[in-house]
Formats: sequence, C-alpha cells, structure tokens
Amino acid sequence: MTSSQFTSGRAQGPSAAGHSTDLAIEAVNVEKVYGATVALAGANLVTHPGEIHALLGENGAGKSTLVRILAGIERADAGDVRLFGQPVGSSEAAGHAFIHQDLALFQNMSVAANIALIGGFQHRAGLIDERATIEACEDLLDRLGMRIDPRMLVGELPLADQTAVAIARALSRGVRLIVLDEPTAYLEARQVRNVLRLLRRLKEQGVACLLITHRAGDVLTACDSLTVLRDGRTVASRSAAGLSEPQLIELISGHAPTTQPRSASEVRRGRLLRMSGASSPGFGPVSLQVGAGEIVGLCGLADAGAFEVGKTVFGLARLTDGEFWFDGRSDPPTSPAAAIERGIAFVPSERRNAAIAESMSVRENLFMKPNGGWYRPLRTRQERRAAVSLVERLDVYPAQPEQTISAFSGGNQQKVVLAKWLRNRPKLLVLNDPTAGVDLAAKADIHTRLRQMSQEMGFGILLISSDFSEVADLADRVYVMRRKHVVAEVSGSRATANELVSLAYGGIEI
Amino acid sequence: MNGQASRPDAAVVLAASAPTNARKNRSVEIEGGRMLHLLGRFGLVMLLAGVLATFSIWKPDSFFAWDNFRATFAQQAIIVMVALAAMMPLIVGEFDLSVGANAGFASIFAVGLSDNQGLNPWLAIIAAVGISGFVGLTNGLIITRLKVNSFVATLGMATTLGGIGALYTHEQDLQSAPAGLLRIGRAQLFGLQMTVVVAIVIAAALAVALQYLAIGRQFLAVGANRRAAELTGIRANRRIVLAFVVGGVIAGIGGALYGANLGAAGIATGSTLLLPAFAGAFLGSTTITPGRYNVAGTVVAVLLLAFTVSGLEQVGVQPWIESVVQGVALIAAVAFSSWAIRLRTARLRDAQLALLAEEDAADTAARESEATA
Repeated sequence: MTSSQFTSGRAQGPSAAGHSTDLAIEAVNVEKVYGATVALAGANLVTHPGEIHALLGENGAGKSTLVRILAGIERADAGDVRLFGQPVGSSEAAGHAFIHQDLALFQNMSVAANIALIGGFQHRAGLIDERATIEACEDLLDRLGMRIDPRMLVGELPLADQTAVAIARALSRGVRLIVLDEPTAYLEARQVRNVLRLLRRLKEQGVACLLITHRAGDVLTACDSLTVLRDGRTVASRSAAGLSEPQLIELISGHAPTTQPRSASEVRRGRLLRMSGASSPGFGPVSLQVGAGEIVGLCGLADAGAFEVGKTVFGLARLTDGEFWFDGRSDPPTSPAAAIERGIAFVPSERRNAAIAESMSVRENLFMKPNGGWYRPLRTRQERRAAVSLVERLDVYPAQPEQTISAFSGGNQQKVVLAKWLRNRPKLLVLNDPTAGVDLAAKADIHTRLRQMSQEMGFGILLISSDFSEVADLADRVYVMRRKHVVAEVSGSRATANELVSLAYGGIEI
Repeated sequence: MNGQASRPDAAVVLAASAPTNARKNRSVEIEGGRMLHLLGRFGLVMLLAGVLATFSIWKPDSFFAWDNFRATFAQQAIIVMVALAAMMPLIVGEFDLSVGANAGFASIFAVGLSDNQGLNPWLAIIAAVGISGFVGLTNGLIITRLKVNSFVATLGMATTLGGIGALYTHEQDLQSAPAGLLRIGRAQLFGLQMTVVVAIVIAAALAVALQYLAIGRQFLAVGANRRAAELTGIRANRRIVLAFVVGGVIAGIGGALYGANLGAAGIATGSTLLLPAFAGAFLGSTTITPGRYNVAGTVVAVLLLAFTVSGLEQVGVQPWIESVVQGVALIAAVAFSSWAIRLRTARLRDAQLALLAEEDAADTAARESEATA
C-alpha cells in the first residue's frame, strides 16, 4: 500500500507478436471439456481498458468456467486466452483482480487489516505500525470515494460496503483489470448505485472491468458493452447502448420473453391482512392491506424498514403499537410456528443461510416439518408422491426429489423453497427478495408462476424486495417506504422501477 | 443446471409436453455409482464381517466362541449406550463432551445411593438416571439460553461433574455395592446380560424415532440448517434441549447399569468412556446412511472397534492397541466422510452437466427437425 497507486501504467510489459496490448482480455475460441461435458465450445470475449463489460448468460452457460480460465485456476483445452497481450498465468502479479461472489473477506478482522493483508502493512522498526496502516487505508478509501471507517470489523459492515472493501482491497495493489462475479446480487438500489459508481470511476482511470451479473439494470445503466454466452458459445458481443430489457432477456435465453397479462383487474376475494398505525422498533407507523389473490409490493432502501414489517407479520418480531388484523383475528402471531398455523408462509432473502438445508434431499427440504405432531410416523410413500407432484408443478429441474438440494441451481432451489410452502395451501406468502441471485430467465419464470398460483390458489403475497424492477413487474399495488414510514401507495399497473426508486429516495438523487 | 425449467417458453405451459417429461424423469446415473453407493452404505458392515471372519479363522478356539462374543457384547453395551448418547446432540449440530462424565456420574450415584444412603437399588438407579437427565437439561439450557458454544459448555460440565463426583465419593472408589444392585446389574434375559438387552431396546427405540417419526426429521433439519428449521416453524431451541436431555438419560441408564453390573464405581470411569463413544458415533456416520449420524451405524462401529481390539489382543498384541485403534478410527472416520462427500458432490456435478449437454443436444435436434418440417 506504500506505492499507493491503484492504477498501474498500461504501457508496461513487452507486447507479444501479433497480439495487441490495447485489449484487456482477449479470449478467442476457448474450449473446455469436463469428462463427457462440453462447458465451453468456442467462447470469445474481448474487453478494452477503460470499459465496463458485462458477461451474461444463464446458469450453466459457461460464464464461471470462462472466469476460472481467465483467473488461471483452470486451463483451456483449446483457444487463446490473453490478458493485456500476455498469455494467462505468465505473470502472477500482473495486476488482475478477481472478486468472487463470497468476497473472501475476513469477517472478524478490521477493514484496515483486510486491506493490508493484500496491500501490505505499514511497518515501524520491523513491527506493524497499526496507526500508519489505518491512515494508509483511510487514504485509499478516500481516493476511491468510499466513506467507510477502516477500524470497523468487516462483519459489521452492510453487504454493499463489504463489496466496496473487497474492491478496495483488490485495488490496493494496483490493478489494470478487475473481474466481479455478481457484486450486486444481494444489494439494494442505493448500494448498487454506489458499487456501479465506483466501477465508473475505475473505468475513467483506465481500468478494465468485467462484470458478471444477473441484473438487467446493472447492464443497462453501467455497462458499455456486453458478451452473452449460451451453451458454452459466445452468441452475442455488442455495445450495450440502445438495448432494452426484453431484448437483453432474449439475447440471454434465446427466446423472446413472454409478457403476462396483468392481473390487476381481477376481482379480489376479500381482505386478508390489514395493519394500521403498526409500529415496532424497526419501523412505524405503517398502514397497509393485502387482499386474497393480490400481490402487494413493499419496497424501500435498506434502512427503510420494509423487511422488518415482514418479520412482524411472520412472528419474528413484535409489534409495539398499532392494529394488526389477519384473516379474522386481531392478534399478531408471536412465533413463526404460530404464524404458520394461521396460514402465513415466509421465504427469507438469504436462501443458503436461512431457507434450505443443503445436506438434505429436495423431498426432506419440502417436508422439513411434517404436518402433525412430533410423534407422528413419517409417511414416506405419500411424501414421495407429493414431492414429485410439487416438483413437476413448479417445473423444478431435474425433477428428482430424492436428490440432495445442493446439486440444484439457485433458481431451482428457490422453486423448492416456494413449493415447501405451497404444499400447505397458505393464505399469505411473505416473500423477501424471492429472486436474489437467480438468473434473468429463471426470475421471469418464478414471477409467472407466482402470479398464476396466487390467482389459482387465492393466496395473497406480500412481496418485500430491494429489487425495484421486480416489485414494479410483479405487484398489483406497491407501498413505498422511506425512513421507516410508508410514504406512497402506487397502483402496480402504473408503477415503474424508476418511479419507485425516486419515491424511495424522497425525490433526492444521490 | 437449469436447462429446460427456467426458459420462459417452458414456463408458460404448466403441463409439459410428453417428450420433455420423458427426458426429465430420467434419473441421473452416476457412473460406477452403484458400487460406490453400496460400499458407502455397507462398507463398515462388510469390514465387521471381515474382521470377524479373519480372527475366527486365526483363533477358532478362543475368538470364535459364544463366550467370547457374549463377553464382548456385555462389555460394549455401556459403550453403545454412551455412543448413542453422544450421537443425539451431534444430530442437532451440537457436541456433548460431558456424556462420558455424565455416565460415570450415574454409576457413582447408582452404587453410592444404594450403598451409602441405603436406598432401594431400583430407586437408586432411577435417581441416578434422573440426575443424568438433569445434567443433560442443564447442558441444553446453557447452550440455548446463555448462548454458550456447546463444545465449551459441555467441556466445562464434564470437569464440574468430575469434581462433584470426587466430592461425593471422597475420592475413593465405591466397591461395596449391595447384593440387590448386583442382582439387577447381572440379571440375564434370553441368555444375554441385562445391560445388553437394555442397550438393544434403547437402540431400537431410538432408531424408530429418528427414522420413522416426524421428530427425527425435525432433529435432522435443526442439525442441517438451524435458521431454516426455525423459519419452517420448528422450535429449534427446544429440539436441541430435548436432544441433550435424551442423550443425558441414555448416558445415565448406561452408567447406572454399568455400576450395578460391576458393583463398583470410581471417578475415573467417565473419562475412559468418552473417546470410544465419539469414535463410534463418528465412524457410524460414515455408514448405513453415509453423512448422517445414525443408530445402526453407531452400533456397527462400536462392535467393529471392539472386535478388532479383542481379536488383536488374542493374537498377542498388548492392550495399548485399544487406544490406538480408537484414536485412529476417530480420525479416519472424519477424514473418510469428508472425502466421501467431496467425491459424491464431484460425481453428481459431472453427471448433471452430462445430462444437461444431452438435453441441449436433443433440444437442438428437435429445433432442427422443426425447421426442416
């Protein structure tokens, strides 16, 4: 970190004959075969310094294989892969940073220590000089425009700041190329903006950025160009200018997206949930209503308290004031078990940590808590039959309920989580970020099914999401929260993501 | 991994077309997976059979004798019970390092209460089991209410129990158990010792509850992902406390009967039980239902270790072999299961990727034939 230059010169390094050093990444006809499986069958990827490039594709399209090859973790079977004109793996410290989705930060260490582990500690008399290390770190963060206290433990920072720290750490060594794997999957709108703004600054300084993302918004707002992989091949490589979201989905999936008729005109089947003047330490007062068969969005920035509202509905947090009414009873549930008893289902936003048990099969996940008392015998045969029909109904792929759930892709795992609740015919579904980390096509699929099933089965949905475009897409009615209050109610047929964002910010552009 | 399922066109049609279904219902075949599967499930049983066969041929007179088997069963009944007691908290994702000490505690009180306090032997045994159950309850509450890591909490508990045991016995071994207690401990049923019969009954009851009742699934869920279990309406803390109480009671029954059988108890008993119990539980989790702690596997593992040790001793190896076998088995069991999980995951991924490639090829073919038609 002493050489606190975070964009090292581009002109260094001899140019190999025939290969331009003007290109950051130059991957031509890359092939990679695992056993009988072709992961990459002629992938091309070209990016330039001073450009943000998106690498897109469905899960399994070969993005991660390509990134592993770029990072030098795996070797291509055929094709030519060069970074700044040099073959991959020729120079380790050439200034390439790969930031994976799990960030690989040390949660129990301070921001300064995390950064210094890569960038180097400041020394005095041969020993670590803590104060100087913190100062150098502060310097770096300042130059990157990050307002983060280097003394904080990384684990105590919000996820967006952790992403920022991971980026800062990568930059502490001087970097020409930065590759980010889904940096915004779990971030809310403002945090996404901060990360994207940071990338734009890097780009202005001549750094080449490669961004792997499932969020159409990231691509359309921040990226200059994009490459789409499908079945291991590059099917599109173009500028991002002038693209629309449907066009993007079509590029990725190879099919035109099917637009569903809005259900807003459907007749509601009565009121289901009503909160008026409700408050708890996390929010309030909040008034809202959800009808049977209705999808109600609740959105806001991370500190708006939207997720807290969902927790009180499910009995995870207590209401301190105000009225609560659900399906004929006016006492809020006191525990998840009580909420489930009353027909409330809850899909948490952290799938891996809070929704699925990775070592268990799909069927066991579906029947984690079999109906009835603890002493009830398991009816394995009935469970099998029910699991097969649930899996087929939601089109979980592969349709093998006895398989361990960790073998499934994120989108399919999320369908299993939804199916777990559907088997009990809930009255109200509280969904928290139901499509975080799910690819665009799978997301559209989950949306279609949610809409269809809520109509057919007549359950209401309280959709709490930090993804404003998801709320605008799916909800019949949207409540926007700002600083713990509901500040607006918008009809879903008129809501656009941009409108929701500006309501959530209170009209002030940050 | 999401080929067909996540494409929007497939999504609109809920009833998938026939050929798609046919392809989807094909199961992922793992190459050479069946053999591996069988070896994974019954490898330990085969190993036990192999050990029995080897020593029976080697020492037909001393090893392959009903008396030898009966003696080994009688010795191992206590280990089986303590191993099952250790297994219960492991299922819900917690450690109980105090199972050995707890069983030793029960043996001290079964002997001590009937001797020093002159309690009816049956009442003494019941009281000892009750005390062990209470120790389990305390462990469970410390871990769930005070949020103390179970490793630390039960290590502390084990040491504390050792101290209280020393206080009660004045650091003397108790050796003068009344005849009534010995009668219970040495009773025979169907030609088997009482402790063996009780161990069989406990193992069977536990196996049924864990495998065939809803509570077994709930325990498994709490161990696999506590947060997810809670959000599914399972009161995870109560399940954890229950696991510790059941474990404590089983350790208590084992310990009390052990004391009644020997007619003696000492403060050193507990520490000798801990390692074989954990070796059994860990090794047991690599078999029958690999990757999961299970009753049958634990019983098989304890017997395997016991017969290996007794066989080796009969062919002339000195008693030091017992500690070595147990220590090595403990490490090998954990190493083996982590290797098996890695192997399984890798094979699964390959198989699914292959299935996907096939699927895509079929899709392309279908599209092409549509185009030509």
